[in-house]
Amino acid sequence: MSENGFWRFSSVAISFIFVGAVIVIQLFRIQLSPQSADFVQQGIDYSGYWQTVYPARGQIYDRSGNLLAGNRTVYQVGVDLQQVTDPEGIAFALMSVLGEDYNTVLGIVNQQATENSVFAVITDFVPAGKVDQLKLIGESLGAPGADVLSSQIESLDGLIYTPHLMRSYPEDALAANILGFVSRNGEGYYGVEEKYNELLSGKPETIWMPLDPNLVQALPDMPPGTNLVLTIDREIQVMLEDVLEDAVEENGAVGGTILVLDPKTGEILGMAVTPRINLNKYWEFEDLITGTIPFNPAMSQAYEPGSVFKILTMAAALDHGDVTPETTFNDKGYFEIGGSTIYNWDHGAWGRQDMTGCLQHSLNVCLTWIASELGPKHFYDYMTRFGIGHTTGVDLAGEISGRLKLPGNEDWFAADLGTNSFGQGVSVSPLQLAMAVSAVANGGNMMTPHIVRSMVTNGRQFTPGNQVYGTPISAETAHTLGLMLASSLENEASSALLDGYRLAGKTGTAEIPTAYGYDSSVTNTSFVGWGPLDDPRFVVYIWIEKPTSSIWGSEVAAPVFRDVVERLVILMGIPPDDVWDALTGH
Amino acid sequence: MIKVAQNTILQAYRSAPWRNQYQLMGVYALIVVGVAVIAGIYLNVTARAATMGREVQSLQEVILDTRQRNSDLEIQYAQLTSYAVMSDRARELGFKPTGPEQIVYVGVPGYQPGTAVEFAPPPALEISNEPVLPPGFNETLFEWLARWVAEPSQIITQIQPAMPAQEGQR
Repeated sequence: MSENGFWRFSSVAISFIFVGAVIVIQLFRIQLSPQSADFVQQGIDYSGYWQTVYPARGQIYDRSGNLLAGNRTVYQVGVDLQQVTDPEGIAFALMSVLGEDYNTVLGIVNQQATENSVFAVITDFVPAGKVDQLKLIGESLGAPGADVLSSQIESLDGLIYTPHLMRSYPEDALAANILGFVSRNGEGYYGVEEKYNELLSGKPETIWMPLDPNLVQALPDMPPGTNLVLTIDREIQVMLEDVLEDAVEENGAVGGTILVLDPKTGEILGMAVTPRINLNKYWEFEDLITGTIPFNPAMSQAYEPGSVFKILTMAAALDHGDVTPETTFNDKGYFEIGGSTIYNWDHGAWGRQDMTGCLQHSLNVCLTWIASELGPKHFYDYMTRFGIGHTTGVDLAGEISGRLKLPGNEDWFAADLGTNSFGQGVSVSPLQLAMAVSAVANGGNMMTPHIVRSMVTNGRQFTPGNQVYGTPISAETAHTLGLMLASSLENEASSALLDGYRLAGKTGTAEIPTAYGYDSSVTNTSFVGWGPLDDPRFVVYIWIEKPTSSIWGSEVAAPVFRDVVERLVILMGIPPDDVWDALTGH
Repeated sequence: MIKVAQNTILQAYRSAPWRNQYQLMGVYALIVVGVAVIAGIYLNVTARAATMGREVQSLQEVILDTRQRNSDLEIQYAQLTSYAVMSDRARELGFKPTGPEQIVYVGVPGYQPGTAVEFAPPPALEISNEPVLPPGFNETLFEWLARWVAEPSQIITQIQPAMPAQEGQR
């Protein structure tokens, strides 16, 4: 190698070293510059993206495992603005298949892609069938024999369909008042969906999704939301809703509620109300449920119950020892208390009556006398122990407590003791009164009503135990009162009775308070009863609101009770008393 | 220093220029081959990792898709067995709702009707699906020795299975 060649090679080497050194210096300069943090952040931003993964919402079943609320796949339809070649074609396709507004879609698709905006959402919650139609159009473009729609579209390039889950209710309106619904932002409203929203929705996780395949990691194994098994029975619920709709229609009523409880456990076996909505079209509920009508009147609407409340007054007096079934009262047709005069429902005088007769003829005068014997302190103590004026603690969203005025309250007067004794001047929800009466059916023990029987999560089924709300009366009182109420129905030959089964119960007819006093032309008719008397399996509460066929509970609500019980004993497999006695050897 | 190196290279070229050239070429070739092998291995491993990463992504999409299809099928099944559909089918098949007078009750001793559906075992009932392996399958030699020292009789029993009873032995 000549000396000249050596220097030539050396020059090239020095040039490379110089360039390398400049690069290294520049790297250091960038690292130490004030913008370095921005560059680092940009690098991180372009290396992946954050994605929030939502677990599937837990499903809801009835007690037999029938699905009442599940999830189905729907699609978000969006557009990659950089990929669009035929905006008019996309707008036309979405107008034709999804019914979207042509100009609105065209405006979205014609947006210019920017550094921060390359994707635009056109619509969401599109059913799978519609997306399949769009995909089919996209695939058939340019193919021989393409339909008219496809012939007007050049390309659907840029359309992106992103699947996700949406709440779905396979039984539509069945038990709508119990279930509630889930809005499009995933929030539960009303009923079980609201009360158990956190459990059902699970815990969403936001995770970093690297674009570098070398850094890809498995998605966290997120358990879906907790599945719930309800206490309601689908067959019973359907039956109650059918009977209620017929009863409301036949009696020209404004609305109604039917409630069935298991008095031994507090399980709600069915809870029907009117009106109900189709949960798959929950957005229409404001058209159906207007004004002050709550979503679930069975626990969210208080009303003056009327004579069904007499069960509680009699229970208190029997338990406190103020009366026995044989105690007699001479009904003169009126009773003065706190400066007011109380009359019977027919303004008649019924003469000497024992306590069963007082219940049988639903004598306001007699019950007022009983309450006066009991005294305000004991009367209101007992009513409080029955849970009147307090929520039951049922696991449904939106429960109200009703109102029980107590001595010492500004608006309580001595006459209230009399009116309260027969269910006037006190407001309760149907569920509250059903729970209170269930104490009489269940040997004095009052169970907390509940709607969720089990929770299924992580491969385990949790079944919380039943809770005792309280024991307002003794077992002996409960037994005695049950016999009295059964006898009163039988003596009266009530239309609530069902052949073969001994039932206990009481009718209720309540005038409706207005701003100008009580309006006797419209009433709330009720019936609460239970059976079989020897081994109660159900408590049924009927409330028919403002019937026009008759104003009396004995003529409106009692036959509905019979209809319900007639079908209930079949669905629950309860044999007639004589068959049961023969089978069990009693 | 540069001068000495220059003289050495010039002297080598003068006496046997090809030997030094071959030597240098050999060294360079060795370095190049070494770098190429390392780069090749690196590329191979990186490519395989990238492929696996893509497969993981793809399988994640399959899992999500399967879960969604599963949800859809559950809804479809529930719709097909909904009360309205089933009662319509029953009516079409000629079934009618029964009345109390048509029911015959039969006593079945010991029969307990089910109270509600059970989707999973209760939390108290822990069922392990893991196979129960003898310790010899996963313990180290030292652990085996330690166990042998601690409980020699147990080890001997494991090694020598129980002798079958011979004829005449009772």
